[in-house]
Amino acid sequence: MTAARRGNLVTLALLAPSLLSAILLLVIPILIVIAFSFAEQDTYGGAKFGFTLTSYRELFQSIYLPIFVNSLQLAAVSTLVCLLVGYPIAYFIALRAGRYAGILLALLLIPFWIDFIVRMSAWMVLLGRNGTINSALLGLGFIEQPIRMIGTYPAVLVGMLYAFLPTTVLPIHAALNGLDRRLLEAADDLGATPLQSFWRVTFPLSLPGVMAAILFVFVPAMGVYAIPVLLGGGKSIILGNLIVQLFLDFRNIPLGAAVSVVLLAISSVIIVCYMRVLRSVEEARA
Amino acid sequence: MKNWRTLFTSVSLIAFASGASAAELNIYAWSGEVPQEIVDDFAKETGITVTFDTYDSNETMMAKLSAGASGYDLIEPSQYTVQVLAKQGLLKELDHTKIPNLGNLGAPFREVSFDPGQKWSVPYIWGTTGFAYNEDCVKTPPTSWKALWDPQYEGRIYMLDNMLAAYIAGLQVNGFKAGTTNAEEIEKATQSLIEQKKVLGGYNSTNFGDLVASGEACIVQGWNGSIAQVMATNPNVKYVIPDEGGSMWIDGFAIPASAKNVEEAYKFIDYIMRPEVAAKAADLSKSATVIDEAKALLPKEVAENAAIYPPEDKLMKADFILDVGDATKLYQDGWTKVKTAQ
Repeated sequence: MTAARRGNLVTLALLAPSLLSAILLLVIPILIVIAFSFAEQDTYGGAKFGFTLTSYRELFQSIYLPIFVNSLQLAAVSTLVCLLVGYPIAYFIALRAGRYAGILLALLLIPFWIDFIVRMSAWMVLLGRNGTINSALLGLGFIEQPIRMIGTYPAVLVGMLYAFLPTTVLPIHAALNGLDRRLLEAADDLGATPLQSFWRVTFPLSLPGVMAAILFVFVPAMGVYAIPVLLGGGKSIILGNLIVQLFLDFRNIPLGAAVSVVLLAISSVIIVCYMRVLRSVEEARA
Repeated sequence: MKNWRTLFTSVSLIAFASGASAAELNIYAWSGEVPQEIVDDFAKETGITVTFDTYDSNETMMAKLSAGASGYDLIEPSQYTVQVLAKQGLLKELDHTKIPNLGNLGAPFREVSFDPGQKWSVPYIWGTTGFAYNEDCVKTPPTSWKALWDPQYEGRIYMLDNMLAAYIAGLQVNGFKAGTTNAEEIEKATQSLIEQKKVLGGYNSTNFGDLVASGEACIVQGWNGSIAQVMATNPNVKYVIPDEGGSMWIDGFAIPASAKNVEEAYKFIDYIMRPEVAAKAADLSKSATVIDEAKALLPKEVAENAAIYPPEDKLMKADFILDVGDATKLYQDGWTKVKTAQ
């Protein structure tokens, strides 16, 4: 056995556990979902394996299109909101917080050890008609009547912001943290105003982080399920809710599987685009 | 001699008890309908280890059953669900000799249209679909589904997040019967439900009782049991079976074809049909019992509660939803349109 071949075998042996679990827990389930999306459906919720495009044809009917539009729109708006709030936080932690940076990062992450649904229920308590925010505002005399927050679009956005803030802050923080401070000093020496040095030095260098943040928010945001139901009153459903509705309420496993496959395809396209853009950014810098 | 016999009996009892402790039962029932206390009592009496899960729509339960081995031994479907599950071959035919207490059923529940001869299911409780309001917010008592379209309660009206239940209101507000299979009527109801979204706070079929009790909602569509539960602590909540009819339902127990612990399932069905157990279950869940003798054991405030036992004339007008067959697709497409409308 040659050394190279032995090396390959060792690599394979070391990779085996993760490769096996990836195949078992990721590849096979996805293949099952894909197989179901081509299955046939009967009125009473049985799925017969076969090859039919019925589900995909049905999916591109007009009644499902608004859900795709809703989902893309919610994901885009949530991503924008997360960036607008998350960037300053990441900037502050990376460049201004000094020795408190570690503590601030920990504070950002600790709440996420609590179960997601519990945290969303906490928001229902905060935003409720007799909730903490309304009681405080009423008590301070700022409002006469409680404000309606649960069951509105802004409440959904607040939930999305809360859920995805860490995934926005962390990659941007990572990019800013690695920033060579001498570049900022140089900009300063050459007479750039703080705003100019931000736009022409800091921001371009943080772009890979920003793009990672966009990816980490946009892709999962299209599939969220609990936030529109708990904070939005279930009035505006998105792809995640459609999948649940098709599987559980309508017992239409093939159509539910087809929606999942399309969602997977959209996510994959976005990830491929991201990788292309990232490469061109890096090439431009080199 | 007598002592010996006692000793022998107790030894065999211990042996029996330790053997029985291996027995299991997995129950899947409507949330709020089978009280945890009843489950615990049963487990204590029989030594059977009970796992107890709940659902808030028949469809969710059916989805789990039709997806294959669900692991459940006992389910609690509503009337039309019994029909669908039986047609799919997902239920076990009941052996009446294993349910000695079957004879305790009240007369109206011995012969039911959706399951002639009690072949697949045994009724457990019954109730109605209507709406509840909070007097703090709704000053003139509403009597019609139209109250759930009233713009003065904008943002504080909630509908059940359940397709067939939402369509009861959508159809009846237009003067049609709930559970219709007429495409035009379903389409009209869909339009009404879409129009209603402007005034809705949301859809909810899990804690609608809390919503109206806390004042987050003024009016909620609901099933009477959950409403009667919050009425017990908040007298400002009132339950209404609307003039248009509302609906009546019967939830019963059935054994899935895939059940592994069939004997234990029969034991539970028979247990919950004992008058004193049925009475306790009805009292705790604030639902109407199907066992006549149990009704006599109920405290007055439950037995005479109009939200639980509505007057006969109301019941005569209520619709009884049966399997809608191929019209299911019409309802589903309509419901998707309702849910996606902005």
